[in-house]
Amino acid sequence: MSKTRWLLLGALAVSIRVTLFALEFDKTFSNMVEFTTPTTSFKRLKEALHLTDLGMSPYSSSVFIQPPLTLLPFSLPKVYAPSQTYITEQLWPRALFILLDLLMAYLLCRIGALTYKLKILDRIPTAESYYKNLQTLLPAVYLFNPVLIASCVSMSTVIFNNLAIAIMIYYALRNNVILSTLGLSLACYLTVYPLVLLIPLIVMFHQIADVHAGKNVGVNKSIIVKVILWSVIWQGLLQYMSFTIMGRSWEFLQQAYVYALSVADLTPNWGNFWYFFIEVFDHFRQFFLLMFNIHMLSYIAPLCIRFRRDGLFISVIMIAITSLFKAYPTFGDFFFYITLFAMYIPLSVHMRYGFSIVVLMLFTMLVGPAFFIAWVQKGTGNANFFYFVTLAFLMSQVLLIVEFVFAKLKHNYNLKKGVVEVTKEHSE
Amino acid sequence: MKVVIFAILFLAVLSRCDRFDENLIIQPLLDGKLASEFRFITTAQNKDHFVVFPRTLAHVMEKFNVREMHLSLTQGRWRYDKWGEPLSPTPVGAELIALFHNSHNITDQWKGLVHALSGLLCASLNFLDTTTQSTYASGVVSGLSSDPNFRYGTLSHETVCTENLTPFKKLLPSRAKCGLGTLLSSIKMYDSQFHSIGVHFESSERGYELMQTITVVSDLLYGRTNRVFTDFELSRVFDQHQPILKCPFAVNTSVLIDTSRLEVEGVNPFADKQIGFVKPNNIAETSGRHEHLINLVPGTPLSLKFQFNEKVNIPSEYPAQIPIIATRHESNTPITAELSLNVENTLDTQIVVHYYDAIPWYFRMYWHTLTVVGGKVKYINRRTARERQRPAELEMAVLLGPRENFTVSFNFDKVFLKYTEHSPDANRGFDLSSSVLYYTFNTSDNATTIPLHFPPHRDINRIYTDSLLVSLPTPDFSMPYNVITLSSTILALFFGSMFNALVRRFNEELLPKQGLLARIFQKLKSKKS
Repeated sequence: MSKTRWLLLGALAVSIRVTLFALEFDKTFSNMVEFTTPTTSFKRLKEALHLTDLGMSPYSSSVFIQPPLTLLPFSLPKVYAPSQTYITEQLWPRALFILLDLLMAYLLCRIGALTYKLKILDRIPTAESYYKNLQTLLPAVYLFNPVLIASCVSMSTVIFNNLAIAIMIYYALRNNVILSTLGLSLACYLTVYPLVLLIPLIVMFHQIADVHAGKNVGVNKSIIVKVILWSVIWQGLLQYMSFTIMGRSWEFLQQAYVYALSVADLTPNWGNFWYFFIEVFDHFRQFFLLMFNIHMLSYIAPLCIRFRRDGLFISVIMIAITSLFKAYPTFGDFFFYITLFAMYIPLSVHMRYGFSIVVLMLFTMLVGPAFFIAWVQKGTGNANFFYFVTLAFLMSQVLLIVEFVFAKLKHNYNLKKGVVEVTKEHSE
Repeated sequence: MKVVIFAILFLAVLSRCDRFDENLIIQPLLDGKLASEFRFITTAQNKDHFVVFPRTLAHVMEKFNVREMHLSLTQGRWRYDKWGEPLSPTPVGAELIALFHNSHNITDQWKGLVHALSGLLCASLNFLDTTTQSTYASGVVSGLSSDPNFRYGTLSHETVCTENLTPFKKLLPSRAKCGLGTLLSSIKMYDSQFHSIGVHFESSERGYELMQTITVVSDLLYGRTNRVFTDFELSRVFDQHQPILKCPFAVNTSVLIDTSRLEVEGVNPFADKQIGFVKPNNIAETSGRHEHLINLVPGTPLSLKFQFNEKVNIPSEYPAQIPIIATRHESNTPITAELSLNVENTLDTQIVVHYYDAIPWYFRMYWHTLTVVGGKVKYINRRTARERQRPAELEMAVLLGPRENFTVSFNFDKVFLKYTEHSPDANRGFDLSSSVLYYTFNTSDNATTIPLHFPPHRDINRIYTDSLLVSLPTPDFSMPYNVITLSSTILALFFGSMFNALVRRFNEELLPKQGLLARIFQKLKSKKS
């Protein structure tokens, strides 16, 4: 992508976000369950920073349930300016979120360029120009998606998680094991769920090795060992750093991981967990917690068997599955994988329910916030209204993921049979 | 019968270990109401042998190693603005303060104590052992610089009624059958503006001391349209038509009439208008400026009649009756709400106001939003909340100049609870119990720790704010089965369709579509050939 184009995109994206911040939209968005969940709330992070300033442990209250290193970027300016000022308290966090969004856009741009260079996306000849433009399209889709703009303005820390995953993909495409596993470890460090991406990442490295060798290189043990080893090293390092900055205490593990996995906070969100664990009978709680958390693992093996050589696709699908079925998902999670799905848009020729899915998604996203207000603020509706909307939304996402898998399978079948595919515009 | 009573009395005097005194304080209030406080004091010098001391209570206190215990059950609000400082300060509902002998297993001892007391007084004090109600394992309230043997708990939702009064009466040596106890008619007690039962226990080297108190504010003008002070008789106020005789168990039975509350800021609106009462004959009497003490002697009944010599109108406005006025509000916004407390100094001198508040964990408090406007903060103590374990606690002292006020405010989130954690009347909301305030005129820096509860009466200028009712968002309580089914369906749908797609082979799609019959026919055909 040319520099002027970059500058134009960046300047526009920044000015939109700055305007929204200036109009104090962050107050509105940060209180919306669509954008902030207990694990990504900036308000809770601020509380933790405040407790640290008072000389208490940020985990002394059960408000803060993120791992300790997330505090680091926000307490960094305090090293240089110990007194609280407008810059350290107001300007720096906001600027940081905008910068992180730009970094994300840059990574997506590079990912787009690399996939085209390596030609690892699907081979649909008529979509050649689409793949070529991916390096502009991906960051543009990310930067100008209204939902992701709102997610940025809400100062939701979900961006850290998404950024870590983007780093993982980007460096995997560059065949850099060390930095790629750093991304993976960071993501696992923030929430436990990205652990399921370990095997897809190994497959992805095999895929890249295939591309470089120009043939199927088979199972490469050195890649497997390297990826696992580096992931363990990075994870150990991150945990040890947290252990040290927490004053040599492991108490953060309980609150940063066990708390979130056991769904102790039942604040509504757009996931499948909150209402279930408000309503479920106490003696079934443990069983369902196990089932809800562990079922994500069941998709790795079949996906890896069926898409043996397409590590990128497996990763994207697994990212979507974890985002959808984690305990505290936000729109930032959903629209991050939807952005990644943009790489596979040419597959939509094989989709059966594409239109219905989009309509269902938009409808629920419009109705959901209204029903939430009706329940909590106006008292004119009850919890079921909002719950059913989130169910319908989840349904649309379930169908979306399955549709992509189905389309990919059809595409692979056509490739095997030598059928030449055309995109919709060309077929008309 | 009389012989039996005198025999018991004789024994009591002979043993010289137990002593029982009863007295009544009567205070006419400025708005035409009448405040009366009964105090029944039982002491036991011998901790193993009781004559009149309630054995049931002593056993409970001994079993759970209680050094000091103060329990109050209150119905109605004490109107600080009209009535001034309370006779014994209590919050609405139940309040239990306990100090234990040793710090081993304090939590277990507290648990045992609340369960035993709830049985003893028919109150739901047992809810104090769960963390959803406010139980604070803290030295913050005691002011004893974090005494580990101290526990405090309040239940503002507790309703107080005759079921508490009956077991209370059973603790009295007289069983409320004689002496001042005969005035404890439950119909009149609970037909009052304010009613509070107190049980105060202390164990020391001197033995056991038990003080039972009942405070009642009776509305003498109930149902009347003219707002004038009217004559009344004591026996009518408590609906007692029998003569009130000295209790044979009591060493002292006395009545104190105190008219000081009718005097405001040194000016008595009744000074020129003579307020008096008809003194019964043959009763020993000592008098102060506002206080008249009557000691009952055996055989002479007490009949008190208050007379207002001229018709005196009840003032429509009440000058400040109390040095500090505290009001607390909740913003009543959904999800994130703000709590603010305003305290005003009505005096022309500097005072130090101490403030204590406990925010239950289901109101998730944000400490970074805590702001104090006005006054000079002397110290702030913070104790953070743990979900489902302990509440957040805030204690601070503020130096207030003359006629100055300060506001403390902070934000909290309303936590979404499991459906089993809601009370049966979920839409009523959750109670935020009263905050505790006390003030001192000692403004020096080293006077920060002043015990809140030693001794229980008068010496500490303690004030409670009103409790607040905060509504939490509720789930649909009839939904468990539906939610389990529907949420699981989403998972099953995803799992099913995913595996359906992943195990699919596309070969058959190339075959021309055939009906079921045609396929069977074809199969049969191929078998034949």
